[in-house]
Amino acid sequence: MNQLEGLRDDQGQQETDCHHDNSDVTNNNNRRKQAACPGAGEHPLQYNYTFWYSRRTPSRPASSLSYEQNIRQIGTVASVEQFWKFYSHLVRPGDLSGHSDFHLFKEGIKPMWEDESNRSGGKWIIRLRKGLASRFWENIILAMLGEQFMVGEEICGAVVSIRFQEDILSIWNRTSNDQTTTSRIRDTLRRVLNLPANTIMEYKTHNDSLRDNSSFRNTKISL
Amino acid sequence: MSTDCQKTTAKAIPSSRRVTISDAAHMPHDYSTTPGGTLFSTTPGGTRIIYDRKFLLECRSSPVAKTPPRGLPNIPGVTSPPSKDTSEKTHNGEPLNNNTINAPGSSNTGEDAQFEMDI
Repeated sequence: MNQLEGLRDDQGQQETDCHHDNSDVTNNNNRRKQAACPGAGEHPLQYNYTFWYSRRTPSRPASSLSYEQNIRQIGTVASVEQFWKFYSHLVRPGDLSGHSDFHLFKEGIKPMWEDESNRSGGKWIIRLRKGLASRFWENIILAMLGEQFMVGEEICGAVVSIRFQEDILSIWNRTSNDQTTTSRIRDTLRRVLNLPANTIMEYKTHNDSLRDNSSFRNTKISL
Repeated sequence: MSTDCQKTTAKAIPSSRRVTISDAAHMPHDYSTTPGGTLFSTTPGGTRIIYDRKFLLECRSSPVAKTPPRGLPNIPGVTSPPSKDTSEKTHNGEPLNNNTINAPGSSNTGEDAQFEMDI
């Protein structure tokens, strides 16, 4: 029954960016080039999104090349129903082991500082004590998929990072010095995640991350 | 979005959807949402497809959403591959194989009202 087919076979190349050719750089299993489309009767999303997963041994130093080799695509979704198909077959972030991340990014944007879409961008960070990651991740991605942020094309993706003693939620946007956008994202986060009023939110540009080779240190604190 | 894909049926994009509200208590609490989830709305920058959280959660229970995705990679501890005996029709009402790793709380996540948490 056609209605149940989320992905379609397609001979053509994916239409979005051609600046980063996946074929030889990464070792993920994305050999098939299928275009994700909403199936008949499904609810289309404003953008297609790709799920990624990454993991590394904390002792191993992070370099750009090793990071790119450690992230892999899980699948791309074009409709609400396709999103649930994938999401329902992924472990909840709170149950991930080790130093792991889930990323949900617009199709064509790699969850890397170096990606063209991220070069001028940055991210909001919210630190969570253990036990909250699964619930907050779900709420942030539902808000993103549902276009609740209202910042045009600015949202690139969201990340949930499972770490030793805390977990971190991030939302990436294209233009770090666009204060109207970053303020609106911050306010939307407060609303959709129902953050307590005194929650500390931090912003870090990807350039700063590249400079100190760190995702979550030396952020700008916003109260 | 890619334009290479072909759709087998052509469907006009609905311009409006009728949702009947008989009780003021059914009105959404957020001022910017509409009952049943805002489908299409015109915002600065043009028409966007907007869904509220409640609507997205409701879609989760549709049979289409429950069937396993094609091409799900097998990453132990991360993905939950579908079981072989999943019937597409699901008329037996059996819940789709869902990894036991998913805590039962995953079905509660949608039901809980939002409340403030001390983080």
